[in-house]
Formats: sequence, structure tokens, C-alpha cells
Amino acid sequence: MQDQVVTTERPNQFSEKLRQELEKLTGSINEIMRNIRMMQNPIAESREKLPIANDQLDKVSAQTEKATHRMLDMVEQIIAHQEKIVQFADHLAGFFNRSRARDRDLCREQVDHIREIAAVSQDNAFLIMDALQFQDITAQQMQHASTLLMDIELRMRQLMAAFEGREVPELEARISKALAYDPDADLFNGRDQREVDAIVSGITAKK
Amino acid sequence: MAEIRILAVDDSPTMRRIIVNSLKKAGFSNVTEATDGKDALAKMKVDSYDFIITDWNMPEMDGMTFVTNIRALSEFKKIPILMVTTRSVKDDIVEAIKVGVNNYIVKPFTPETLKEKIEQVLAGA
Repeated sequence: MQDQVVTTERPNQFSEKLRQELEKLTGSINEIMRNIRMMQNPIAESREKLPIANDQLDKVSAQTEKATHRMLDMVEQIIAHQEKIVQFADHLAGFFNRSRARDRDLCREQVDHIREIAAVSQDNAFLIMDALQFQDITAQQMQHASTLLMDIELRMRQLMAAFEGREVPELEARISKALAYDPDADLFNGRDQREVDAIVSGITAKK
Repeated sequence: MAEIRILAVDDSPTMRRIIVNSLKKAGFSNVTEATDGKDALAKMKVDSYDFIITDWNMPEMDGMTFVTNIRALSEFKKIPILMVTTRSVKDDIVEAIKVGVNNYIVKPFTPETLKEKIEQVLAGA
């Protein structure tokens, strides 16, 4: 059943009131349209900045990788030098064993000391290398941020197209970048290896 | 004991270098690198390997698809596989073991953990 407008007013009075209401409504619609037009420019400007932000993220990622590889070069050189020091120490030890030096024991002690220092130094070099795993993890975090920016950019394009009455672009079409990263990659708050071991043991025990 | 041939699969050049160096420290120097599952499968067709270390998230072919593919081939049914990844959600670990991964390491890892897991897998293989 359709709603009926019940009024005690005379037809002329009613149509005048209706005209006034329609005028107010038209004013409001025009105001909304004006606001939307005002919003279009800032949205368009923001959308144009998003690919720049994306490029910056790519640049940070690439430069961090390059710097990490320079550090790895140095760490590998340190490790190689430590190995040589140990070889020299072994050679010296052989020489002292054959010698008739009165202070042979003292020399052996010194050689052992060189070996110990070399071992500690090599362990430290490996600790630096372990720490450089940060590059892989932060690269994944940046890839995640980059994908989120791409998603926001596409949604802004859709909004702009809707404002301008154009065909709205497909959302899925542009998010085709392969998911070659873990969105939850974390350098400090990931699961502890012991917890992982417990999970693995639990599964393999059931098999 | 003959030197084992290891195939290390990771899309990150940094991680590949760290894995190779960690393996060298652990006494494993016969290591071949692959950039993703597709590259690894191509290398496995040409050469034979005794052990696989693979990442999960990689372009072209991810670690899970790679493991599923090689476990479907009779010649690789029993090849030991160690997954080294940032993914640490319990369901992911369970899923990886289900598709045929023998053990699981979360990044960042230490060379000692890598050595320990390889030895565990080899002892159980």
C-alpha cells in the first residue's frame, strides 16, 4: 500500500510549501556537490603522491640491500683473515715443538692465546653476519607497506572515477604483485626457535 | 662420510650468502644456490643433491609449492628438506610438516641452529 500525504492545507498553499522544500533540497544537493568537487583535488594530489612513496620504499629497500652486501663483504674478509691467523698459529706451534728454545712452553702458551683470540674474533664476525638477516626481514616489511600503498592508490582511483562518473577500475586487476613476502615478518618479536621445535616435535610424534 | 651436496633455495641474495657462510662454518661446503622453487626444480633436474634448505615466501614458485612438487616425484620422496623462513604461525609450521618438510627454522637463526637441525634431519632420514 502506498503512503498518502494527508493535509488540511489548500492545494495552492501545499504546492508552495512543496516548492520551497524542493528548493532547499536542491540547495543542499548543490552544496554536497560543491564539497565533493572541492575534495577531488586533494584526493587526486594524494593519489599522485602514493607512487612516489612506493618508489621511496623500493629505493630504501635496494640501498639497504646494497649496504648489507658491503658489510657481508667485510665480514667474509674478516672470517678469511681469522682462518689465516689460526693457520699461522698452527705453523708456529709446529716450529716451537721442533725448536730447543728454553722458553718453548711460554711460546706455546702465546700461540694458544692467539688461537683463542682468533676464535672469539671469528665468532663475533659470525654474530655480525647473523644480525645482517635484518635486511631480509625489513625488506619483507617494506614490500608489505608497498603493497598496502598500491591498494590505497587503487581505492582512490575508484573514488575519483565514481566522482567523475567514469567506469570504476577493477580492484583485483592491479594487485597482481606476487606475494613473495611474509606480511608478519618480524625481527624481534617472532616465535622463539624452541617453541617451533616443540610444535615440530608434537606433529612428528603424532605421525 | 662423503660430503653432502646441499641446495639452498632463497630469493634474498643476503640470506643466501648468510646461509652459505653458516653452512661453511658448520662444515658443509658443497652448496648450490637457487633463487626460488622454479630455479631449484630446474637445478634438481640437472644435478643431484642430498639435502634441501628452502625459504617459504618466494616469487615464481614459493617454498610450499616447491616441496609439494618434489614430494610428488618418486626420486625425491625421501630427500631431506629443511625450511628456513620468517613465518612462525603455528598453522604454517603444521602445514609445512604436512606437505613433507622434515624440520623448520625461523629467521633470524644462528649457524649453530642450522647445523643442529641439519644433523637432526640427517640422523632421522
